[in-house]
Amino acid sequence: MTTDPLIAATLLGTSRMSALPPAPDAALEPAWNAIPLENPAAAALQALGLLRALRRAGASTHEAPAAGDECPAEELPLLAPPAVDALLRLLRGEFPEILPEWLRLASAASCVLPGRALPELLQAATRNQSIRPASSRLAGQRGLWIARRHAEFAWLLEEAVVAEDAWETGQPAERLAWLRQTRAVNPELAAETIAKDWAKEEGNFREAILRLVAAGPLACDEAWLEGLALKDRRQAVRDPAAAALAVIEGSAFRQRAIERLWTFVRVERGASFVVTPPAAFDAAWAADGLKEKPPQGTGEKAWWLRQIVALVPLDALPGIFGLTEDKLFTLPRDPDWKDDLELGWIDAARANPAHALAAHFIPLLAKRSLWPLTAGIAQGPLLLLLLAPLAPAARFAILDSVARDLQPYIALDLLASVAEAPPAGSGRAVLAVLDEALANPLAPITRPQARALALCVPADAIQQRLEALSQLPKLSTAAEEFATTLEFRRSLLSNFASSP
Amino acid sequence: MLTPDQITAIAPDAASLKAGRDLATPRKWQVTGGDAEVIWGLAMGSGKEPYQTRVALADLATKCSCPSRKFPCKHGLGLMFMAAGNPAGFETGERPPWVSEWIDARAAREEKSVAGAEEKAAKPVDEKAAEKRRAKREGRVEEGIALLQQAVLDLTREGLASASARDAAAWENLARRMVDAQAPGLAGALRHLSDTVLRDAAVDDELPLELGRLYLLLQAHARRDTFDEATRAELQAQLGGRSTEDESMREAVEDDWFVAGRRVEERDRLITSGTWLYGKRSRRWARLLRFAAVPQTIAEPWPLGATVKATLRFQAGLYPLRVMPDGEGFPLMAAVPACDEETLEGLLDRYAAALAANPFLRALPFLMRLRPGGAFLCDAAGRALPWTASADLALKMECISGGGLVPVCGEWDGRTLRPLAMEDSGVWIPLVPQQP
Repeated sequence: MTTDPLIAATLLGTSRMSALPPAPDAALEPAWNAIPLENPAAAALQALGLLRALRRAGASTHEAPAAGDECPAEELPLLAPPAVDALLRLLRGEFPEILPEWLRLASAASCVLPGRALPELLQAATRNQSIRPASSRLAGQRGLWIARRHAEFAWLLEEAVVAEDAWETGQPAERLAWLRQTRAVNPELAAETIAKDWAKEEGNFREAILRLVAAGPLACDEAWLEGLALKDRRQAVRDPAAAALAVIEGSAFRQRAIERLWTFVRVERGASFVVTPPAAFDAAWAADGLKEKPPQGTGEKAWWLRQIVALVPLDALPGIFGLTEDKLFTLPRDPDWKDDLELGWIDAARANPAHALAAHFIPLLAKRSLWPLTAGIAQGPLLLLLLAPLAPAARFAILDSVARDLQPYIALDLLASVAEAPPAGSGRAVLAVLDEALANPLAPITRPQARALALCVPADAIQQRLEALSQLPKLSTAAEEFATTLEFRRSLLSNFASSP
Repeated sequence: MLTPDQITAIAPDAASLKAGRDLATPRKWQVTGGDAEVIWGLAMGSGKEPYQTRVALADLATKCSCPSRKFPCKHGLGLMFMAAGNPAGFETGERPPWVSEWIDARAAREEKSVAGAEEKAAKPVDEKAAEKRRAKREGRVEEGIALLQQAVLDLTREGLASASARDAAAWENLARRMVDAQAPGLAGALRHLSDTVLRDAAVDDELPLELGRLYLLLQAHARRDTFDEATRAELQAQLGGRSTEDESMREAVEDDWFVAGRRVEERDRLITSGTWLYGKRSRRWARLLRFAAVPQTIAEPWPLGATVKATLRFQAGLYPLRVMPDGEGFPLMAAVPACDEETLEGLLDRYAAALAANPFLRALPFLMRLRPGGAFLCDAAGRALPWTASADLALKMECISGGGLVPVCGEWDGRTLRPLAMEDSGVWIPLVPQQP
C-alpha cells in the first residue's frame, strides 16, 4: 500500500481533496506550486506527472548481495554452436527419438555444453532417467555448480564423486552417490552402514537404496536384505528385496526358494516337467513374500505354484534340474500346469531380467501366438525388458533369431523401442522386416515409430538406405518420416567430426 | 548471411515452419543455386512440373510457382534453411531465366515506384485538398483527445481505487477508440494502463503515476503551439500520428551498429518488432521499430548479435532514439563487441538525464557486464538493481553466468531491469521470444 499523500488522495478520489499535498521534494517545488488549482482532478494529475519523473529518475542502486562461489572453469572444450542448436531443436520436440544418440555422440566427443543449453537438457533429464548419465557428462562443471543450487537437478550429484562424510551430512542424492561409490570399493562397509541406519531412513530413501542395490546384490547384502528389507512396511521395498535375495548365490532365501520349487516341480527321466501342486499354504512361506489368497479367477493351487516358480531366477533352473539351457524351455510340460509354470517363469524374468536366460527364453515367448492376459505385462514390453541388460551384439542376435516368429508389428515395435543401430554383422534379419514394412504402404507404422526405426540404421549405411528409399515409387507417410529422420541424423552426425 | 532465427521469424505459421524445415534437404530439390543477391531451386512437389522457388537475400522476399497461399511458402522457407545450413552450396551458379526475369522485374518495379514517387513529389500539390484532409484528421484526433481527457478526469475525481478505474477491459476499450481517432500512441499508453491493472503488483502506485504521464501528454498537446520544434516533434511521436517532418532533415549517424536486443510482440493482430542498436563509435543507442499485420510477418535483415555498418536517421524529439535505416547497410564479420565499462550507477545517471530531457520516456537500453544474484542483477562495482524474470529465464541466466559477470543487454524503466539478450561463450543469444 502506498504512503504517498498525493497518490493516496487520487486513489480515494479528488472530489474529497481541497488542496494539493506539499511537494515531495524541494526540486519539484517551483513546478508543483505553479499548478493551477481550479480543477482538483486536473491539478492532481499534473502533480502525478511530476511525481512520476521524480520517482523514475530517483531510483538508487542497492548493495549487491554477496557473490557465491563462482563456477569453476571447464577442463573440456565447449561444443560448437551448430551442434548446440541441433540439441535445442531435439529438446524442443523435433525428432525426440534421436536425442539419446546425439547425447552419446556428444559425450564421446569429450565436450561440454555452454550454459544456454543446460536448463533444457537438465529439465529433460530430470523427467527421463535414461538420458541422465550422458547428460551429466555433458553438463560438466557448470552442471554440478547449478545442481548444488537447484534441488530438482540433485540427481547430477549422484553421479559425481562425493566426500567421505557424504552419508552423514549430504543430501539424499549425495548419500546415494556415497553408497554407490562405497559399494564399488568396500561393499561390506556399505552393507553395514545401510543396516545401521535402516530404521532411521525415510520410506522413499529405502526404496532408492533397493533400486540401487537390486541392480547387483552381493553376498554381504544378504543380512540386511533378509533381516530388514524383506520385512519392510512397503511392498515397493519388499519385492525388490526378495528379487535381490533370490540372485545372491548361496543365500538362505535362495536355498528355501529352490527347495520349495524342487518339492513341487520335477523333471522326470530328463524328458518332461511334472508338477505336484501344493495341497495347502505353508504359513512360513508368507515371510518370503508369498501370498495365500489368489486374485479373482485364479485357483489357489495354481496361484501358489506360480509364486513358488517365480521366486527362482531362470538362470538357476539348469543347475536345479540338470538340464542344458537350450533344453530347458523346449521340454514338454505337465499339460495340467503348463501355463502356470510359464506364468511363474515370466514373473521370475520380470523380477530379475538380467538372470532370465534371454537367448533361450525369448524364443519361447516369441512363439506364443496368444499372449496370456494374466501375465500382468504385454509381450512387447516384457521382451524389451529382457533385451535391455544385454550387450548390443547379443541383443541383435536374439532379435534376428525371433524376427520371423513375431508378428511384424511386434517385431517393429521392439526394434523401435531398442532404437539403436546393430553392431557390424548383425541385425540382418530384423532389418529385412523393416525394409519390407517401408516398402509396404499399408504397414502399420506410426510416425514416432518411424523416427525411432530410423535410428536402427548404422551410420555408415544411411546414404545407401536413403538412395534405396528414393528408388521406391511412392513413399508412405511413415516411410517419408523415416527418410526425413535419417536426413536429420546425417546432418547431426556431420557435427561430430570424429564419428564415421 | 542467413540465420535460422531470421527464417523462423518470417514463417507464417508453425505448420509452414515444420514443412519448410523438412524441405531443407537436397533430396527434395532437383536444382539449387545462388549468388550474392538471390538463391533459387526447383522443388519436387506433387505436381508434374517442379516448383520454381526464388529468394532475394536483401529483404528475404520470395517467389514460388507453387499454388500455396501461404507467404512465404514452405518451399521458400526450405530453400532458406538449406542455404543457412550450407551457405557454400549456394555461392555459385548461373541464374536461370526464370530467376533473372524475376530479379529484373523486381528492379523494374522498384524503379517505377521510385519514379512514381518522384513524379508525385514533382506534381503541384493540391494545397486546398491537402489542407482539408489534414484538418479532417486533426479534427478526429482532437475529438479523441477530448474524450480521453474527460474520462481520465472523471476517474480521478471518483478515485483510482474504484472498480471502474481497475477495469482492464475499459482501458482496452478506450485504447481501441484512440486507434479509431488515429492516435495510436495514446492507444499504446492506454494498453500500458490496462496491463498495469491486470498484472502489476504495485498497481496502487503505478496506475496514478502512469495516468499522470498520460495527462501531462494531453496537456502538452493542448499547448503545443507554445513549444519549440523538438518538443512538438516529440508530442507528435508520442501521439503516434504520421510524422510531417522532412526525412532528409533528420540527423544521420553512420556507425558500426551492434544489434544488441530485440523484442517481438503481437497485440490486436499487429506484430511489433523493436530492436536496440548500439553504435560502437558514436556510443549512441538507437531504436528500430518494424510492424506487420497478422498474417504477415517481419523479415529482419539484421540478425541479433550481428554488427551492421549502416547510416541511421534519428527522428527529431526530446531525446532522440527512434531511427529509420538509410539504405540497406551491410553486416560485418565481427565478434560480439566488448562492453563499455558502464555501471548501474552510470545507467541511473543516464536515465535521469534522459528523463529530464523527455518526461514521457519509458525505458532506456543498457549493455554491461552483470551477474544475477537472487532478485537483483549486480554489476562489477558491487551495486545492484532489481530485475524481473520468469523462473525459466532466471535459471537460464544463472546457467550462462555461472556466478560471474557476463555481458547483458536489457532495458531499465526506472523500476526494474529487463534483460533482452546476453553473451554465452562468444555467442549472442536472445532471452525473450523472437517470434510473436
